[in-house]
Amino acid sequence: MATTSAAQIERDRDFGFAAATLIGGGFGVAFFGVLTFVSERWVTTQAGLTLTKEVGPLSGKSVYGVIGWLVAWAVLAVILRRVKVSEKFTYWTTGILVAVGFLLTFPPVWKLLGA
Amino acid sequence: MNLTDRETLAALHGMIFGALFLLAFAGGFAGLYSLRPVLLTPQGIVERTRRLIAGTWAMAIVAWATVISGTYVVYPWYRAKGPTSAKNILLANANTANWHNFGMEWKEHIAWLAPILATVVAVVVAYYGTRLIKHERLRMVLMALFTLAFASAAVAGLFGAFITKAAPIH
Repeated sequence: MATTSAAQIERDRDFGFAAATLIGGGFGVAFFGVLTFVSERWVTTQAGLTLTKEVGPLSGKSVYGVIGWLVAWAVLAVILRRVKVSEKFTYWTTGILVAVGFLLTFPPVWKLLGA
Repeated sequence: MNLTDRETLAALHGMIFGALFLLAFAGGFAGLYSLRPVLLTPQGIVERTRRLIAGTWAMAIVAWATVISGTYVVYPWYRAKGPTSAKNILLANANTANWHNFGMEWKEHIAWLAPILATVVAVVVAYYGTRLIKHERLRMVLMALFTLAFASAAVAGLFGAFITKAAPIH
């Protein structure tokens, strides 16, 4: 028979860690978008984001963006690991954060917001 | 038929990693799509999940390799000082300036979203393992994030190819 029942699969996992991973990822994407927008809108910030001269401000955006994502993920994982998190809330929050990240990395949006 | 060191590394960044990324996406997406009880036997679920975990991790690792090599190896050559760098060649001509002002500006940033999203998918798939089959909505969300990771890499890859054609790195 080509079907399976829930009983045939191992005991289910708590959703908390998955929620932390999803929301943390959304935060990482949004955070990278915010760093990108800030450096384009206020060009004086580019000096602070330049970690290597060869790469320029993208070096800071990439390094701080990844660190921000990992820290947010770790904090959320600790907080949400044993908490019953709403799936609907998790998916909507992740979706909104991801959308913010994509919008803020799109050059015409920078111009629309005064860059 | 000779490639310079820079051309070789640029090809590794854009073509080799790009091809692996495409392959890993296709496998991962097919795995996520077909992870449904009506399509698989219990043995099939175990086997399919194993491949799905490998595929999503492969895509995440290749995405990281691509953005890191692009940002820290190829990009410095693109933006080097002097009139012969690709960036300055593009900006010197009004007809090609938008390849930098729009294309490169979008590419260099959106590319970084791909490995973050691909890693999220890989971690959640590995965390649930075979249990993922019970979570229809979560599987849909993972498919959406996986597709967004691919889309952001596709934008970066497409503009990378066009920009390299307009102003190659030698």
